[in-house]
Amino acid sequence: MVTIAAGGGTSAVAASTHASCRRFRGTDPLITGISRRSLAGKLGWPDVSGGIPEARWMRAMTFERLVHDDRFVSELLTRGVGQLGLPRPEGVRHVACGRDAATSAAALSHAHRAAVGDGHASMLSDVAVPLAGFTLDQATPVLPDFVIVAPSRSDTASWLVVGDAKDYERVRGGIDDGRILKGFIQVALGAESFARWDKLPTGMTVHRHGILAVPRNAYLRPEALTEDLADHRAEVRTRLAERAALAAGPLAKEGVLDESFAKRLEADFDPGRCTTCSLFGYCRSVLRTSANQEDLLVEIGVPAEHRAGTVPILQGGDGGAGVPQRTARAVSATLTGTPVVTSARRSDPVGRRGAVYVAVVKSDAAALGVHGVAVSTDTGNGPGQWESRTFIDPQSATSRRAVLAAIGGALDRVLASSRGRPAATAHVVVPDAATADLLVALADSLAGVEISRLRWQRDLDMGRDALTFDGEPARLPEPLEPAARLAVSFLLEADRARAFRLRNPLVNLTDVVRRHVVPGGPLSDAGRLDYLTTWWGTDVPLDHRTVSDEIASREHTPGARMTNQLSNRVHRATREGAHREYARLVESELDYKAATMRTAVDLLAQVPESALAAVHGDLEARAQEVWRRRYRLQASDLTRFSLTSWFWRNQQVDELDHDGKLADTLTVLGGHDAAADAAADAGNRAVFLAHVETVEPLTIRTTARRITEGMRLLLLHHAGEPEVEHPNVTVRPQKSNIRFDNLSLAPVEATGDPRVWAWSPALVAKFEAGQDLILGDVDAIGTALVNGISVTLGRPGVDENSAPRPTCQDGDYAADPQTHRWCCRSHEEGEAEYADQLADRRARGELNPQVWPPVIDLERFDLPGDAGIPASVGAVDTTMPEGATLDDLE
Amino acid sequence: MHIDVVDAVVPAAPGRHHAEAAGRNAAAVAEAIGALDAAIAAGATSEHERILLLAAAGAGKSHALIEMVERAVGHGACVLVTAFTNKQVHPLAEKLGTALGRDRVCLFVSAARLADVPEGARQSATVATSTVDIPADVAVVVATAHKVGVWGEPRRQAAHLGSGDDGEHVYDVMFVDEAWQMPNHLYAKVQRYAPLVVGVGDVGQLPPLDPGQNPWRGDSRYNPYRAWPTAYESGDPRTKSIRLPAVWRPSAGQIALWRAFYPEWDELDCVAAPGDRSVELPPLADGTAELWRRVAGGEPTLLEVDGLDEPDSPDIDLPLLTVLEELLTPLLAGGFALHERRYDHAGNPDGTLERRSSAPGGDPMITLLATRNQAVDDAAEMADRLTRELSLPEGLLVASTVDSWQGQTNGITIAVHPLSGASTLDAFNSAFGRLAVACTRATHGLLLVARVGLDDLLANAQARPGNPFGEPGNRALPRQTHARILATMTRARMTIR
Repeated sequence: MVTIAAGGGTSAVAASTHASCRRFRGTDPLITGISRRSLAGKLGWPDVSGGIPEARWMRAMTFERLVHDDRFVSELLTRGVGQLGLPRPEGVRHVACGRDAATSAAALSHAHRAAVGDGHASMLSDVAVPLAGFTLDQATPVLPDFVIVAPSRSDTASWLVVGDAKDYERVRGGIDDGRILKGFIQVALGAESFARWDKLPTGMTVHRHGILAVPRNAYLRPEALTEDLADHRAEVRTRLAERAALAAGPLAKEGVLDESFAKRLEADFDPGRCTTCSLFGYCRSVLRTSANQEDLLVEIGVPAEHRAGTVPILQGGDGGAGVPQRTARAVSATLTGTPVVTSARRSDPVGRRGAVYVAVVKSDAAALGVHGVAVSTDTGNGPGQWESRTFIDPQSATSRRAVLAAIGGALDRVLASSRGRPAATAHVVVPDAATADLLVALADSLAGVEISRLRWQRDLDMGRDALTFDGEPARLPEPLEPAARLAVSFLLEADRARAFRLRNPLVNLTDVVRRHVVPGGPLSDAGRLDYLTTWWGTDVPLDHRTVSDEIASREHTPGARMTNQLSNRVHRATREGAHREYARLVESELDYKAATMRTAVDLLAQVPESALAAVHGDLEARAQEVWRRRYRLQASDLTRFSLTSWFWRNQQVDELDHDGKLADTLTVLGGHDAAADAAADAGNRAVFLAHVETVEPLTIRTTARRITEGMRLLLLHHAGEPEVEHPNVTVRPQKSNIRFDNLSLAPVEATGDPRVWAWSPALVAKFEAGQDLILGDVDAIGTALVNGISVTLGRPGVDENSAPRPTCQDGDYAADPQTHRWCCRSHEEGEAEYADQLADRRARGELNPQVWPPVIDLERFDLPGDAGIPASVGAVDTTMPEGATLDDLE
Repeated sequence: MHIDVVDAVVPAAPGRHHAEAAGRNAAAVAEAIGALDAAIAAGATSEHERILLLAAAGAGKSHALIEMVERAVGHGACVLVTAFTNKQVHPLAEKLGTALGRDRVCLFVSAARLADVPEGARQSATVATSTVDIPADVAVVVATAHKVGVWGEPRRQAAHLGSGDDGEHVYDVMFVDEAWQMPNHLYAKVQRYAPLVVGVGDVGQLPPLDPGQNPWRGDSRYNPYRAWPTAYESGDPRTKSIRLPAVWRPSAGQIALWRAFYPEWDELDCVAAPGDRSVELPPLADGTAELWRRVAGGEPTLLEVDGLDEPDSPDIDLPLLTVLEELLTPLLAGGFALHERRYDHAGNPDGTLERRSSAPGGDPMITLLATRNQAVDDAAEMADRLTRELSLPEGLLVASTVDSWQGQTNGITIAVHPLSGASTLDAFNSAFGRLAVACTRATHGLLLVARVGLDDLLANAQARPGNPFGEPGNRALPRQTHARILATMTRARMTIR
């Protein structure tokens, strides 16, 4: 059985994650002798947030077992050793040590002799080593998932390379840097402990690098990442020294675990970050019952650097300098119980023809597992009926294809709904970022399988064996059906556009709603759609704590991930084969998500459309014209962002510059809060706060140090209202720029008072003395035209690189490969050519398994054969240790 | 004003100096020249397509570059010398023109920037703004990558200048100065100018784009924003990589700090020996005398200030600048002098030089560095005010952003520590590239200022990742790197009452 027990080496990651919290450090199980979860219970605030869903735990344990499975031991070991530049081993051994220190010591001795004598490398799994600086009597041992003992170039020495297995999900092909850091800190704890262990065989040295086994792609097939652990070990030593000092100090000697003990330790509370700590509920309760009014700011998560500036709001005043508008508004909303609706108008596609609304229920048991999907389509008559499906086997390829077929079918209806009107611009609208990431990951996985299929089909057509990159026999999958292919193509287009802030084929509904409403309560809660709609939809003042608690206690969530509670119920229903109960649970979750999205769409309908909506719509429509050509000719439309060519990436650089600049400008033009934040940012040199000093003549007063004589200022916001929304102002997206007419702009002239400037625009709005203004340096923002009332902004060009031209037709590449190689060569044609190249390289012995060190497969396509779990892994123990939190897994 | 001063935890470690240190650089340059000779001689059959000369800040790499260009021209090669900015190519054109003759070197600039070309470069090199004005028999063309990388320029140059020895490329060798500052997407526009490329630069330069803004960060494949030599630094069989293991710029007291910025270098020595450089200070009040004595002695010094009013933002800190102004005023009012031992080409002591603040000349004697534009505006305002009020000569005291001061040298650097006033370590403030550039510009003294709390911040901050996984560069973590850097500094502390 897995034992993650209090007080041992398993809490290294948490110690670094919560390093700034004195209460966390002071409640180290090494001091208290019990886990924080038990302590939370003793203090009367049982841990309800820091737990781990059963399915998530099972996935972690399954991955750990896979790493030890004979199918992967050799591959993982040789790849890891190869990456470290060590000699190729003569043979590979695998020994399980049963999480016992004595067994581990004996196994290390055997492995050392095998390395030195026979040149064999050994993977030792389930090893145990005393926590560095402690004996086995004092603290539970460190339990690295595996270590590798490898031959060195010396006849008497061997290397010990410490490793750990982490089933980190790849989000859009990559693993978050923060997670990788945590994983390697865990590895470093093992390395540091082994380095200080007196049972290490003579001649064995702990290698400076460590290995993290992570999923190679969306499936659980492991691959090795290596890292220099020098600084990670320094981090571990620092935290170990702190813990050892605390364990030997007065706190440990008192031995009284009551509230006064915990309260004496000041917490560094953050409602967003602290939920993984078992003491979250307790710490929050201390703040909620505090007599100090300023503790409210800590409770809702106002960052430390903004607290002084928000204290005046608690006393009925305005926020101080440097406090973001959104933070100040959130504090106000918390006090009044009424949300703040911003003055920004809408420029999003939600509620418009072309929107496809999608909600999914993600499985905690697999990176790409989907329990169910619900889709609604707007073909011009508002959001249609939601159609939902549940999947009895969430992890199967069939389920993945069905999810994308459902979305592809909806996209097909949207794109075919023109009825004489121009074709609609399609948008997939999702409730949160996790849903978007999951859909893109599904598309990416299916695209990889389809591309592999095209290559293998070519191999078979040419009379070759169909082999994977690593030279294993390939299992040919079914071709991707048209509806699923449409969805895959669209979602990968959305992924390729991810660096462009002004592209929006995928729309996160939560982000859209957040532009228009600021709720009270914890700032981190505003990342949840049902929290936002609850605040926005209320007619009566709300108690922020009641709302926060009520939303957190709901069984359902609006986003992709379920609550722990529902996840566990679904997991149990799956395990027990209770199909009807399973379907009922998943459908109820889908209904909740759909209802929340419907409410959000209805609330957004109350907000008038911005004049800037035409700009956003035009940019996306032109970009999608190119995508449609890609899709029609099936040319480069299955290419994921991370596999785009160097040429394409180079071409993106200038366009990304233009996109970023225009996005910044549109944000400032259309949003008063964004403009006010920009003006208050001392590093910004183009946007300024001012107010009307006198009307006749018009003078403005400002404290901005950057305004100089003759600077041409453009009126951006007038008394809190965006000037571009004024009825007289026109906005025209043109081919090479965006044109604005009837704006107020003029150079400033000195008045003798360094804070007051004369300003005489040709078009004068109805100014009143004292009115707040936000002004911009027009020459930094765009180009002022000679008429004195018009401005143009540069726009990014349409990405037509490596894309079919408007004149390209089916068969053009076959007829003229030279001319059409980089525009409309289809995937089928391109992959056939690449399959031939791979076959040539394989024939020359340049690919795995012949070559050393092994070649790394940078494409990391999912392989159909990797989808399942090998039978040899068997049933994993899903008993979760007491005290385990997500910090231990993530 | 009272300031407490404590010695650095890690003092300047012993090492090689003078000719012993410089000789190792000379050997590295000789190795690079040997590789250049071999590559030019072998032509299309050359073992190497690229030669990279990796340097720490102030290693004398520009001198090495000039030497290698001369060598290539000596072989009859037609050479392109390029870099990222006009500020970098202007002095190269001047030096190369002086070495090779005005007719043999052409500075190729855009017409819009012609007015920016300094007189020295105009005098030493031929200046052209259009391709047809480049003398057809020129040996060396010097231009920014933007200028020669513009659409159609390679074709125009081929038509005007013809092709090099191999009949395919316009030039025989292309030299890239400050190579680690040039991103891939820009290098892609010039890389086909020559079959052999020599990249010279400081590997501790700021990345061309802050990693946080890079959409391909962590992507181990091609990244358009990454410095182009990073793809070839290690393990590429067609690239010869050579390190310059010594630095000329810093005083001996700063070498431990230098080493902290280049942790992956096995050896890094300093040509200047202890006592080679000093700052002659005016009489100063007791409170500040010890602080300036330490700075003047070449000890990298961090002054932490307590009791200040709140700043606009952590890195735009007028109250901190006010303290700095109070510290600088008596130094500037009283006048000071920089003394240094001169060296010959081989690093042997060869006379002395004295520069007095009353007649500065050459590189600025004091530079104020800041990270953001408004902070630089504030620092520049302070420099202007002090210059005006104390009637200081031009060029004695200047202010700049860290980014635009890359590659520059000054006597004493004064900078605000990027972690000053921060409540957390974030991607921007914890990136030590900017700190490295700020700390490695000075020949005589370094004074960093900050609000109190740096040690607490580093002790309590959540661990942060360093270079994203998959990116080139060392694997050091920000917290540990900052701690290593702080450990090399003399620490001073003052409280505002």
